Amino acid sequence: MMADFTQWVQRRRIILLISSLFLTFILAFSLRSYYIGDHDTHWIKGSKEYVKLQNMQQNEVFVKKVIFPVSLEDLTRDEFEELENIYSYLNNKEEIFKINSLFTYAFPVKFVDEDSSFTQMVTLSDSQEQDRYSFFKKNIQKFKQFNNSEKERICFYLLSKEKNHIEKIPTNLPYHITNPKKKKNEIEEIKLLLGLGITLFVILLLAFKNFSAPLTAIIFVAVTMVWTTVLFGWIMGGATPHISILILSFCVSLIDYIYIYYNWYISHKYYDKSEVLVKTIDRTFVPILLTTLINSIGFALLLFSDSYMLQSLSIMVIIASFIGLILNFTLLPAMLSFFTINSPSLLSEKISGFLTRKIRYYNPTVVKLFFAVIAIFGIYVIANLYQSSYYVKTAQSSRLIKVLVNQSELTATSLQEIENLLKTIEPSDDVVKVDSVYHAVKAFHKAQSNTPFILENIDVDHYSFMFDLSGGIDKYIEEGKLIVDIHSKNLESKKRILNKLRKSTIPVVVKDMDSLLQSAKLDTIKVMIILILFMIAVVSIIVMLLTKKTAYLVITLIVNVIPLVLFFTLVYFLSLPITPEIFISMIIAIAIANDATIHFIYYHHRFCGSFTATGRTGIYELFTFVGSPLLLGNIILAFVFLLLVFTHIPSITAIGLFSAILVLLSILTDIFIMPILFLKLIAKK
Amino acid sequence: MHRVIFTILFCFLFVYAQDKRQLTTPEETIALLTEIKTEAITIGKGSKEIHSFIDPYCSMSQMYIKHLFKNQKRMEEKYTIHLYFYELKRKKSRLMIENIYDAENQIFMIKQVMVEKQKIDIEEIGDLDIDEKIAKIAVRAEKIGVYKRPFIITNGKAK
Repeated sequence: MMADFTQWVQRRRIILLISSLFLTFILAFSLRSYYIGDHDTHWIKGSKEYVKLQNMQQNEVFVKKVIFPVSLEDLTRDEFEELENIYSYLNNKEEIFKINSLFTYAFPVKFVDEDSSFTQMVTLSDSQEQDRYSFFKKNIQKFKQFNNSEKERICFYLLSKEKNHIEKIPTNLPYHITNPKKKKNEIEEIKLLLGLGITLFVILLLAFKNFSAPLTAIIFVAVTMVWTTVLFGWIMGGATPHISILILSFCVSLIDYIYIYYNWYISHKYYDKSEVLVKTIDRTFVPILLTTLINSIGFALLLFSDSYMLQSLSIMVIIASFIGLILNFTLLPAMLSFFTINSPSLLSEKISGFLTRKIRYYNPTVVKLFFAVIAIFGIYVIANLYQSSYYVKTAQSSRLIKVLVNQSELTATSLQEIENLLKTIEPSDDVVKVDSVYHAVKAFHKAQSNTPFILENIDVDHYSFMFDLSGGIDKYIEEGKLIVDIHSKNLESKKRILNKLRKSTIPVVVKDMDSLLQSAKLDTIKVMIILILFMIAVVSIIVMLLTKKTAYLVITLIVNVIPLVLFFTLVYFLSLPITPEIFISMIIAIAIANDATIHFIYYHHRFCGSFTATGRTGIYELFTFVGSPLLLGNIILAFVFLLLVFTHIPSITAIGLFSAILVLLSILTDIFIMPILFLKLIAKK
Repeated sequence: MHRVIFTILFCFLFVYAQDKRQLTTPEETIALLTEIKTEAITIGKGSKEIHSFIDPYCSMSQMYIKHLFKNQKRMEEKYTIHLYFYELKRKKSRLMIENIYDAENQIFMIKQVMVEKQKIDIEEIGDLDIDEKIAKIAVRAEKIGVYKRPFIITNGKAK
């Protein structure tokens, strides 16, 4: 059947090649850019907090922080006036709808004239004082949330509905704007794709010393990526996938490509030219079909997640797996049929020989010691994972959390809701300052009266009237809802506050993009842990169904768990924070590791089962036909992942770096541990 | 010795401070205000009633009125604000109060005097009705314990 199919492909190779290339060319024009930059929206879409915000017909707010390296306490009159000019400049910017700064912060001031007094809310910007600088100095303590005393800097928070608003400020005062606009994404993407192409070309040329490898690889990868991305766009309503998802789909198809190409290449040494393609397809079809099924079933789990990011990851991998499967057995054989290898010469043969010797004469004590160390590391990792808190860092990483209360007026109910919110987050060292209408009322009460502030006893109408006199409560309202600004001590504190808010039953909604993003990422971690376990379960079931031998199941579990244990040990040893990027990398690595596991087990089960523990041929063949292409494929993938470091986007850089480490750990386990386990658990004594 | 003086002074201040408070309960205050509501100059037609005792020459009352007119639209929509002119003796504003009550457009005159601080020629009015109005307000103000200007009352409670 395979022979018939291969002959069918060979007969139609020109039409297959031309139609594939023509279709790719046409589809490439419909592709949009922004795979790299536009990733925040991917994370928040569908996330719990974002859905709550949307249900309230509210939009997310993008907060940019402008930092001036001047001390609040030592602020000179000139610096104050310059800051005032900057405030006026920013206030006139259309894209900024609100500024939180020392000039907009409202606080009560009690004016006294003998037996008369009047308390009102004032801000530096609308103060009637002739000398605002002196007025500021007199009330300096009121502005401490805009100052970071340790670093001696004053902050302005700029609120906008646009992601990339203000980039430059015309001032001589030194300043820094957080989360600056990235360079044009197209440039970054072209660089990345160029790097990917060059890496592929160079490594394949060096490995095979033949142009057929880089040529077919680049055509194959380009066709797969374009088809996958376009199909993804059609399914997801014109959306573009996140770059890490794109890379994952690329990896899934590339590993299989290398596996087929390598088998085709090496087969020239053992088979007649007319048989090479048939033998290659016969040898590779089943394991590739199985890996496609495993990845599709495993990633289909993510379709049930609320997160758009995880849903798109799932859809993209499923599409990429099936497109890869189709192209691997149509376009690729069609392309390969144009080439012939006269004298296949591979470094991998020497490597296979070397590895076979190492495995045959392995030292059992060293292996036992290795497993003992892995067991200890495993316990260490489980203990740490159980205790550790997950960490989320964003490009903005602001300490401010903007929370929305579902109330639009100053009433007893709205104050009660804010008080409940405060009870949830306070008392806590994590909170530096909270700003809301509740705090304004409390401060006003303190300025007017000596009695303690008890919400049940206060006359809200009075404060409502007094606030309306001073211009209303607009300062505490955004899009018609009351806002509470929580200034956290640091990013770790912010995460704890967000967790408290999310766990509480109070109907509050996170409003700022940075906190929404952090919440969304935290939500995805749990789902990703489940996915990793599910993927291991799926591959184990498939292995069991395929081999019907428990020994293979045990081997599958061991080789999948070892890289994860080693990786987590490294993470904890280096005190790296456990981030969603780590879990994304693990998913990528698991998907690739599963491919490798299936290829190894399928080949061993089908071809090497009868070889004895002391026999050389079985292990040598395993290395020659499976180990070498997988080693080559994983090295290429590690380079590809390392390329992501050059995107300069922290989350993508982290994904690239972690994935590269995991992929290498995974292939090292497959090469050094799996054959030993085959010899120990399966080979005939 | 100085400790004794300090304690006596503290007690005096405490008693004095205790005196400076609203003397009537919210219910009593509302009842008293209802009696003089017709004597007030009223701004706005909002759902919430605000009663304020002010003096035209008091800088704090002027600040209050200034804010009131600054946000006039919002205040008129949301509140019904009753203004009661109640003289601060040291300000000697009795004649001005009489003139405001006598003015054809009282609100315009309040603006002129208290917001724009225009110098207005004032004259002896000698209107018994106005005298009675001022007296009526003063009696209720004393009962309530209006100790400062502006004395703003919402829901029978003052701040």
